[in-house]
Amino acid sequence: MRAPTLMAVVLAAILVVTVPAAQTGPAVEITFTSTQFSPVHETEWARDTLFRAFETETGIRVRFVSELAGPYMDRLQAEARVGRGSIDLTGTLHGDFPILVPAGVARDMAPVQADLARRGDRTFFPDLVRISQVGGIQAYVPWMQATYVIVAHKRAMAYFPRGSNPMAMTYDDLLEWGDAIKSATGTRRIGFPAGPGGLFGRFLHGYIYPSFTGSQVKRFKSPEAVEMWRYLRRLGGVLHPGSFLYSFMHEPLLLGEVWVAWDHTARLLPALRDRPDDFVVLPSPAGPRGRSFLSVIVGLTIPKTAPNAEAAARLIEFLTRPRTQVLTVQGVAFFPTVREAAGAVPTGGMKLLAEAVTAQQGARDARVALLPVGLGVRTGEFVPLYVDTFREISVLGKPIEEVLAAQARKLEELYRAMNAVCPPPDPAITPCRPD
Amino acid sequence: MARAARTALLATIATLIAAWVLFPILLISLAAFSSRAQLYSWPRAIFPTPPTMDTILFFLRAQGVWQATLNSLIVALFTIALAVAIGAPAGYALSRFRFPGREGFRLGILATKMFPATVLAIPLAVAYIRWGLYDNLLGVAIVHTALALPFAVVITTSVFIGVPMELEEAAMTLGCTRLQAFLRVALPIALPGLAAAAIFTFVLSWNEVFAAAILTLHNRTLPALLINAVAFAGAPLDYRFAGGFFMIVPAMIIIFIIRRYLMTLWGVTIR
Repeated sequence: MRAPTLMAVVLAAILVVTVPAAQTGPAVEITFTSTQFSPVHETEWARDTLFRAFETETGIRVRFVSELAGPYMDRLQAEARVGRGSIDLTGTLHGDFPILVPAGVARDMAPVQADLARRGDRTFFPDLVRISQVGGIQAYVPWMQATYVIVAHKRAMAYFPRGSNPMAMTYDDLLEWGDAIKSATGTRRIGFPAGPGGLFGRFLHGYIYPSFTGSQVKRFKSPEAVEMWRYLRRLGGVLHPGSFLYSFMHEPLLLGEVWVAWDHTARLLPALRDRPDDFVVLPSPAGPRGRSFLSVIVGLTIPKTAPNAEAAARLIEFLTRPRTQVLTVQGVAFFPTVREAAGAVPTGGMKLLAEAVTAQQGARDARVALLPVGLGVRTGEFVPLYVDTFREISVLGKPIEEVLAAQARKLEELYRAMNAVCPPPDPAITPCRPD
Repeated sequence: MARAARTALLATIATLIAAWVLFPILLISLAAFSSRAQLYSWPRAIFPTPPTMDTILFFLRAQGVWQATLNSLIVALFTIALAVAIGAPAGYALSRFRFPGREGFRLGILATKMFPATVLAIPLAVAYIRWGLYDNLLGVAIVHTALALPFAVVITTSVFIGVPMELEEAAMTLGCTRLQAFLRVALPIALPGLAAAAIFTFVLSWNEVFAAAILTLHNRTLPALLINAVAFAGAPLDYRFAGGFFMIVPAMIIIFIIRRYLMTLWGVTIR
C-alpha cells in the first residue's frame, strides 16, 4: 500500500517540476539580474511598471531577478567560468565592477554607449561615463544614481539652531541641534545607520572626512582629521544609542525613535512616501572644507556569456531614456544619469527628496566625493578601515592620533598593493598615500 | 500529593516550552494582519484593530510567491524521499552489522557537516551549469539531501537499534526472506523514527537559503525568493511580518501531517 502511494507522490512531483518547463513563454525573453530593486515593493514596481512598459513597446519579456550581493556575484562569476550563461543583462553598483571585470564577466560597453550617443536624445553626465571605465574597458552604462541626505521629523525643527539655515546646515549646527533636543526632551534623537548592513561607513569616508579635511585618503591622519574625530566624539553624546543597530533609517523615523536621520535616499524613501507631511528633507551638512557628498552609481552591463545581447542592448536603451529615468526617480528614488531627465519635477515625498538633493548638489560649497576605484578584489576592505577607525576611537575611546597612525598604515598598504589612484576629491595621485 | 505536584510541575514546564515556541509565532501572525500604520505607531498594539488582509494579499499577488511555495514543497518532498531512501539503509547497516571502518564511516558522515557551504558556492554553480542541473528543482533537492543525510543516518541508526533483531529473526524463521523481514517487520516499527527524520529533513530543506539561492535563477524556492526581498533589503515591517507568516504556515501544515505518524505509532517505539 505505502510504496505505491509514495511512488505516486514522486511521479506527481516530477510532473509538476517538468511540465512548467515544457511550456514556452513569449518569443523573446531576457533575464535581467540585479542587486538593486530588492525590497519586495520595489521589485513589484519594476515588474509591473518599468518592464511591462518595455514589453508593451518591444514585445521582449524581461525576467527580472533581484539578488543578494553574494549569490549575485557568485552566479555571474560561475557563468563566466563555464563560458555559458543564462543572464542577458545585469545591473549593480559601481563598486562591484572592479571584481566583475577581471573575472571576465563584463564585456566592453563602449559600442553600446556609442550607439546611445548617436541617438542624440540623451546626454550622460560626463563624470559618470568617465568613472565607468574600469580595468581598461567601459565596464557599464550608467543607469541610476543615488546619494545620502538627512530626513528630519517636523517636530525636531523647533530645536534647530536659531539663525542657521537648515538647507545649508553645518556639522556644528547638527551637533547643536542634537544638544538642543537632548536638553529639551532628555532624549537623544539623532540617528545614523551604524548597525549591521547599515551604510555608516559611507558617511565616514565620503561625507565627514572630505568635509573636514578636503580628502578621503590623503589627509587621513592630518590635524584636521584629528579635529574631525574630536567632533565625532562630541556628536556621539547626542546620537540615539540604537544607531549601532539600525540598518535602514526609514524604520526608526516612522517609529518616532529617531527624529533626525542620515541615510541613503532609497533607504529613507519609505518614510517619506508613507508620511510626506511629517518630515522634511535636508542636504548633508558642511564642514570647514565644504559640503562633501557621495554619488552612488548603478551601472548596466551585458555579460560576455549573454544568450541575447541584442535584446539586452535594447533594454539598456529603454532604461536610460529620459522618460524612463523620470519614471525611475518617481518610483524608487534613484536619480537620473542623463541630463535631459534631471530637470523633471517629481511630486509628494519624492519632491522633498529631489529638492534636498538639488540643494546638496547645487550648494556653493558642494564637493563631490566618488567611491574608491582601482582597489580591484580588495575593494571590500576600504570601508571597513573607516568603520574600524570609528569603533576604536569613538566606541573604545582609544587615543585618536595612535589609532589614525595605525589605520593609515593599513590604508597605505592597501593602496600600494593595488597601485590605486586617490578617489576624488583627493588629487589623482597613484598610488594614493595618506600624508 | 507528590504525584499531583509532579504533574503540575510537568504541566508548567510543558506550557513554558510550548509558549517559548508558540509566542513568537503568535506575535508574527497578529502582526501579519495589522496595518502598516498600526505597526509603526507607538505604543504598539498587540491585536490588530481592525485586522487587515492588505499585506497578506499583496504577498499572495506578488509575482512568484505561489510558484515558489510549490517549488519549496517539491524540493522538500524530493529531499525527504532521497534522504530517507539513502539514509535509512545506511542507518540500518550501521545498527545491524559490524564491519571494518564502521566507526570511521560514522565519523566521516558527520565530517561533511564541517564544510562551510559558502566556499563551495562558485564551484558548485559551475558544476551544476556543466551538468545541466542548474536552475532545476531536482538539483536543489540533491544538495539539500547532501546537507540532510548526516542527520538522517544518525537518526535512523538509533531508530533501528531500538528495533529488536529478534523480531526480524522470528520473521525469518517463519519463512520471510531478509528483505521481507526488513520491509514487513523492522520498517513498520521504525516508521515513527523515520517520520522524525523526515520532519528534520523537511525543516532543513524548507529553511535552506544558500544553495537554493545560488543554484536557481527563475525556479526559486520560497526562502530564496523572500530572504532578499524581505529580510535583508529592509522592507517595511508589514512586509517582513507577512513574509514570516508566509514561511511558517505551510511548514506547520506539513509538520502536522507528518506528526500524525509520529503520534499514532509512538506507543510501539517506546515499548
